[in-house]
Amino acid sequence: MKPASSFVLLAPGPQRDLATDPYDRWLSPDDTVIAEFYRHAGDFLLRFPEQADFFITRDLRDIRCSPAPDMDEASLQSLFENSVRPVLSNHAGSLNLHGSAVNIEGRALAVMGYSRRGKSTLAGALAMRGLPLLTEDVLAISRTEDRHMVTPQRASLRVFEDSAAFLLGRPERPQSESEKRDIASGAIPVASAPVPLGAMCILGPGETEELSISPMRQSDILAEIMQHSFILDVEDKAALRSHFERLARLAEAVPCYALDYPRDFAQFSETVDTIAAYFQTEWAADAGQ
Amino acid sequence: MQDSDTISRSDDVVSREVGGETVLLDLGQGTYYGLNAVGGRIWEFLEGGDRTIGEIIALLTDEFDVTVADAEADLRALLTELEANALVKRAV
Repeated sequence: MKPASSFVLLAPGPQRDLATDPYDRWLSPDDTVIAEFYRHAGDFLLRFPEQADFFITRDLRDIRCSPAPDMDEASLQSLFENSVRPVLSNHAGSLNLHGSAVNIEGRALAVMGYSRRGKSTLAGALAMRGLPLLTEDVLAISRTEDRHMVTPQRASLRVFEDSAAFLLGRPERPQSESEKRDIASGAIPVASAPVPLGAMCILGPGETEELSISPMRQSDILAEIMQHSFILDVEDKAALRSHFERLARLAEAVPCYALDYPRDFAQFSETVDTIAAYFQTEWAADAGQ
Repeated sequence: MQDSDTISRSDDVVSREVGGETVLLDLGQGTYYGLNAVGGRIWEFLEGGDRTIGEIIALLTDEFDVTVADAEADLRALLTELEANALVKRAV
């Protein structure tokens, strides 16, 4: 099963009420609905409220997008690349996780965590220190005989206004707390080739006064990374079993750290330097052995 | 909960041993449970079929340096939790 890599754009229109309840939904930490998953005449319908409906055939080969009025094409493409495509790809047997990553000493450092915990901001800040950005939102992981590789995704970074101002070294403008903005790809170094996944970090809530980087147990890693997966059909138990096995192999093969730090821009530069140095030192030592 | 009660795994649970611990994923609810080494061994005892509580206690006392009373208490506590979360089925 190979999912379609693009979608057919239908005419814009308001999202109609549906006769059935969704069988699954994605919620933000404040319980706002990010996406709803419906069955639609044997096929799938992924609804992103006030943004778009994606109609997907059961074999994943035909995708049609009905955008809400006023949705621009770039936003639709971003929605497709960052949400729809990884969901379909995972259903077809691939491994995509929700997270950012940068290239440190030839290895990928992945950053995962719940929405608004600062994944993109941390990845952007690491990239601004010369550590090329591999991906902002989707960790596309492929498994070779002895390694898990991370493939670079689109060269873009979407962060909230205050993070953008910090990353670009510009004074803050009146900010929108609910909308992200794109930092032009030319402003940050980006990676162009896949690299082995060196480590994963799970971002804590930031309710701390000090930076902490603590290794996690493999069983905790497995339970954690399952929460950052893209799953199309929670009722397809065969697909879930396969996905669980892929995640278990990842948890066994790649170290993972619980990472937390105060979300304070006054301390952030030092925090980012310490995180970068921690992994640079660790991996440079490995390379020298 | 009697020694003659029969315990089996729920059909909706997938399990995987990682790093010396057993992680259970409830496919119906999408929730996770971690079992320590002894809990993981009890889960293994249930692989492939039903076991009575009495059989599991005997297996535990054979394999671990534990009294029947302690094995029984630990097993009942674990099974109560697993049953409450629909991870195992119990037939009286």
